[in-house]
Amino acid sequence: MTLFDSVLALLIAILAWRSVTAPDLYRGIVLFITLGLMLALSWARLDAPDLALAEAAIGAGLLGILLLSTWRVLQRAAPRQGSDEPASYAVRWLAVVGSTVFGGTVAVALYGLQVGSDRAGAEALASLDLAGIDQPVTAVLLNFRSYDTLLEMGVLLMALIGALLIRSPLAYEPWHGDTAVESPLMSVLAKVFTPIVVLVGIFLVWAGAYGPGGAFQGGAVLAGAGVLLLLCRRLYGDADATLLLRGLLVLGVTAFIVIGLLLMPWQGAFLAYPPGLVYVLLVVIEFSLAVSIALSLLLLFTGTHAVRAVRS
Amino acid sequence: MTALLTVAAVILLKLFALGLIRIYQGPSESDRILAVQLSGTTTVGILVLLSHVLAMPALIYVALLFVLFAALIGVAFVRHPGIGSSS
Repeated sequence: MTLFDSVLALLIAILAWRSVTAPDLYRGIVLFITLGLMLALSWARLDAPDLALAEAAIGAGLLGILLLSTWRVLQRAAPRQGSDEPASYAVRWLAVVGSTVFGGTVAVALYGLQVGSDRAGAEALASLDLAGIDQPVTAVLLNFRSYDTLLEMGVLLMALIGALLIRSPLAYEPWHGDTAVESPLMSVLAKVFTPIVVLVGIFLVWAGAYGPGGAFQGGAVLAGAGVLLLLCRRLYGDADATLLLRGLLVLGVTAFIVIGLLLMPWQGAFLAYPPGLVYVLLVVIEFSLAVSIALSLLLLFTGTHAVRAVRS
Repeated sequence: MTALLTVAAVILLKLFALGLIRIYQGPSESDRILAVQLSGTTTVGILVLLSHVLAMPALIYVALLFVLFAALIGVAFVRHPGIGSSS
């Protein structure tokens, strides 16, 4: 295994280096996707299957698709006006100083870490019985540190709002042609493959209750199904959001807060769950989080306020 | 058995490194994306082997995700996400 690890570390370093120094955009994207594959392997070697799942779904998968689609749009668009001159020396030196300071600070912080002092982790594992759910990662995310996860969902919403404000949409008009006479592969992908992707997504959300998986990984896979439908022209990005869609976007945060507040009179604390109901409540929260995450990621892909089905 | 599987995983990883030559040299865009698909398949193989060697059944799910997203990456490569017909 030592040989495996050293080859893996070497490959990650080479791929990371090459993906930022690639001569053109497309090569950089391709190398970045390949880097994602290796990073998932490294998470697997670090005993973190949850992160390997997240890396596979978000890092290599969705992000790779987003980059490839952006590259397609850029390729089709008119050649960019303006100069491609490198930044001035002052800016470059500023970047060098900034990265060096940041890297140095991280190195100092890492050096200060004491091995074996992860008492919070040990305590979480020891009190797993209280969490009412077998999977340590889910127990920490949704029960012990649920406040962090709630705020994280808020951050995701903020990111979506910010992205919608500043970026131009990627997929924004309905397909007027007849979908039936299009490439036969597309209808098979939309009708046969998409349900399988959705099924895997739902399975991953549900798997979070007893093993690696969870709302983020499952939500990313569900968003992947949506992206597939977009690329197959079964969905398109639309400018006007319906109330239902906005409701689904905030469903995760709302479910979290409502359940937390409703149980307050009995539990005496925000986001404290009664022992008997913990499993059911966490699964409900997890699925509502997954819906919001999937929709947010899909809208981050289209860059529009809504998605709509193409009427055939 | 575990030793044999570990050796197999190392060999697959080295084959992955060899595949990088095609990703880097190209020459065409399709060559590169096909090389990425090939490295994806190799990664799936490594993950399946590792799930047995490390006794982590969840790595099979990771492999499953890579298989699903490999198809999506292929579609994203050939389709234009915006308006109009595309090749």
